[in-house]
Amino acid sequence: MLDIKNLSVEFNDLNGRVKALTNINIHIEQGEIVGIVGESGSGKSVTALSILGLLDENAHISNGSIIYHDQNLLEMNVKDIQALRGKKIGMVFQEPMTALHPTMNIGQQLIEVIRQHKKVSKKEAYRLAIEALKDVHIHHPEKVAKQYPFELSGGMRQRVVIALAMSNPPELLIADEPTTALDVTIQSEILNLMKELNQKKSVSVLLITHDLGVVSQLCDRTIVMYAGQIVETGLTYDVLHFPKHPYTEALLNSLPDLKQQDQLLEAIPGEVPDLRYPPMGCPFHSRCKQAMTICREHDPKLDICEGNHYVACWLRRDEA
Amino acid sequence: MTPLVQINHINKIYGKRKAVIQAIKDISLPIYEGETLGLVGESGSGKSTLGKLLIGLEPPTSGDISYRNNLLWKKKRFMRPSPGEIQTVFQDPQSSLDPRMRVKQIILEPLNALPDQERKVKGSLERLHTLVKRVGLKIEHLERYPHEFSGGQRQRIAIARALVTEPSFIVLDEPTSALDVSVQAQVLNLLKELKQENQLTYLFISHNMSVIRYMCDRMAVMYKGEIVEIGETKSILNNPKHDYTKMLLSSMLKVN
Amino acid sequence: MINPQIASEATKKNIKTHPIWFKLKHNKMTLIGFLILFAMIVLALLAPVLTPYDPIKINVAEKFQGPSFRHLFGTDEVGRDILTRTLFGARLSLGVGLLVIIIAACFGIFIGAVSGYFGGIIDQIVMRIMDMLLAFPTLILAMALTASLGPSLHNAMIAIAIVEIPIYVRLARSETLVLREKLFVKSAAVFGIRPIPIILKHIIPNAVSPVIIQATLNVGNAILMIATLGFLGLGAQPPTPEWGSMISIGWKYLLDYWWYPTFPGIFLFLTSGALNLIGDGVRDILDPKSNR
Repeated sequence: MLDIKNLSVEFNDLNGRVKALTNINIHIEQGEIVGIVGESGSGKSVTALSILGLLDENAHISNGSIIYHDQNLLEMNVKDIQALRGKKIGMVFQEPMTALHPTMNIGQQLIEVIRQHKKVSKKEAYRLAIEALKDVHIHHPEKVAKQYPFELSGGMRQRVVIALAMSNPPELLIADEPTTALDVTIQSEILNLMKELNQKKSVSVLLITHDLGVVSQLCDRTIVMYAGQIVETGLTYDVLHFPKHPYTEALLNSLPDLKQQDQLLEAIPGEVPDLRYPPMGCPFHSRCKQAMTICREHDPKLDICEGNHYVACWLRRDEA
Repeated sequence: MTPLVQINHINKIYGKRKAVIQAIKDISLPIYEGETLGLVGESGSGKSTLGKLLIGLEPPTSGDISYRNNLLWKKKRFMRPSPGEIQTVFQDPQSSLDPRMRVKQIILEPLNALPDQERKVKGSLERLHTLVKRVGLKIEHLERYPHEFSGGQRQRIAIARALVTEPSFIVLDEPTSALDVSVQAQVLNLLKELKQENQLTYLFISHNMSVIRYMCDRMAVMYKGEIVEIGETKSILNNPKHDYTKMLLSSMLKVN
Repeated sequence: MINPQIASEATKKNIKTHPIWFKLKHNKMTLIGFLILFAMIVLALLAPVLTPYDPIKINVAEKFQGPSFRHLFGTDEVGRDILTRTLFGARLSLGVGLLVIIIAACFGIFIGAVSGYFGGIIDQIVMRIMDMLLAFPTLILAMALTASLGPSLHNAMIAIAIVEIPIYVRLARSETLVLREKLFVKSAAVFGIRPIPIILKHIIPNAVSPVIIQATLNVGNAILMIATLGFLGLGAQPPTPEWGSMISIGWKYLLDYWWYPTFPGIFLFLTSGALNLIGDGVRDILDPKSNR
């Protein structure tokens, strides 16, 4: 359904070019939940923004295509992209306030969306709106419908955003850190709602997060990004249990989840490379324990490892 | 064993008359020398407020806190133990470092509250260099400004600043919440090692159960201004008693 | 291993990045502002060397002569060379304008920072006094103050400084209210640093850029106010050369002797324009974050 091919994005700033994305390939099928994990600066949010056509003005797409149902989004005009964003591609951001109209109450916003989508009377639309709020497990839908976004807590707002998405289901929902600003107890509820949205309305979800826990709970497939490149991708279970890329492995080991108190965490030494001056070879080599000579000189391309599991690492290559 | 910090029946109420929020409801707890006490809770649970009472940023509405058997608050006045004895590292490394000061000035700043004699001893260049290297920064970083550093490095600067006075007790308010996981691991390890080397006592405030689990000997669970459960970290995690603790644990996302 | 070519470019960049000069080069308008101001200062300082005439001595025989090689800017109603008077006037207007604003800004930022940082009763008292000062039209207040102190350039300067202080107090106070909540200020309090050192070390350095911007924008204003007071007989007393009073007197002759108010006017315009350009750029230069 969505097919991103060889996407490269650069940013221009005063000091020169930042290579934000290099040769990204992502493929999303109908009804799939795909997760992109990475740390800050990995390019995961840039990927989402380029699909939505929301990149900053100083961004420059130097290569590649984003094919959505036989149409290249990168060649579409602004109006069509906007129409697509409203109807076919939905979005949920970290801060739900951005997706809500500040001076319309929740009921009005839902009614507006429902009536755009279905030809129903206002009364019927209101009934559907209340239904939609019930669907996202809001206990007093009539009361919430009369409230304004600023009166709601972060968790409630995010639920409303999902209710909006549900009442006019898009084909693809792009969720950028949808639960990062929320408390843990609410986080799992929101994730469950997204799962429901996916199953009931067969919405495909592209979830962007820094949290491996979120990915493992929700996603069918996982893409691991580092320094603007995809370093590993495969079924979530495979990636998290049998990581092939040293970065994924190190990331998993740096989580405090499984370590005992008397053990030290296996931190990844150093910092993410500065993409204004991208390193030669594999972007991870300077922090990699198993780096070889070839890693410093040649960038390993993403290649099949086994089944649906792809990895960009010389350790997994016979030629190396 | 007498505790290092003893908190007795503390209440904290914000606002006046109608718009009253009780941030802390009748909390009592001891913090023992050499331990890491974790304080876990969600936003609005009052965990950060409790930290502020200990470092002198907010006075309690009622109740008392003693540090080495001396009261920390007399009426609304903070009775500072010797300066630099209690230190803090905040969550947000963006705003906790003055953008107009060089790293060297930032790290040495707490010494300005010390008597001249002590300041000279603790502020020696040699000591500063050792400290900077210990927290994983380089000597040449001392002449730079905070905006030139990543979040993790800034947090290292904040940690060096907290250590420069040789404190006994550090309040860590979500010190790694704004950091990436791989960097979080570096900082957590550093904090753990520093505690060993300098015989520190930590109050570790976090919303992240797995971080608390990794860092803390004992933990307290806060919910709506109250402590609903307190005890050894291991026993609480293996056998939570309170419903809220159970809920927190069940909503933890596990990777495997 | 970093790509060697890129690495060498990076080091080149670091060498180039000499902070203030680097930023100035990227900000053409500010650079122009600084150049004009610099030129003004040089002209003012070299005034006695640049012209052979006396700025004060009357020479009625040569009154109202148009611009010529003898008198580049012409002469005024008592035959004094306008170029000479304009250059000497630059000394007075620039010097007094800058001095007044520096005094007002220094007092203002300190009062504002103290008021904002402590809050409570101190803040209440300070802000009520400032409101009182702001309630009067500035010029009228300055006139009243000068008149009561006695007409002289000194007293006019004091009056204008007092009138200008509330602007800076308000600006510094509102900045302080934001800064007070910043963690680095709170941290300093946690370390046991006393309030006044916190104000001097953290609050004022971080609140200073809007104040400096405001100040550069206000110098032109102060110069005009001194001129007005001078015109009303409350400031610089004739025959002291001063742009404002030259313009005020000269505009009456504009139709017949256009050069009389025009040249001091151009100088006044250039100066306040330059100060405005500088004001806009100063923010960038003062902000360590705008290094890139």
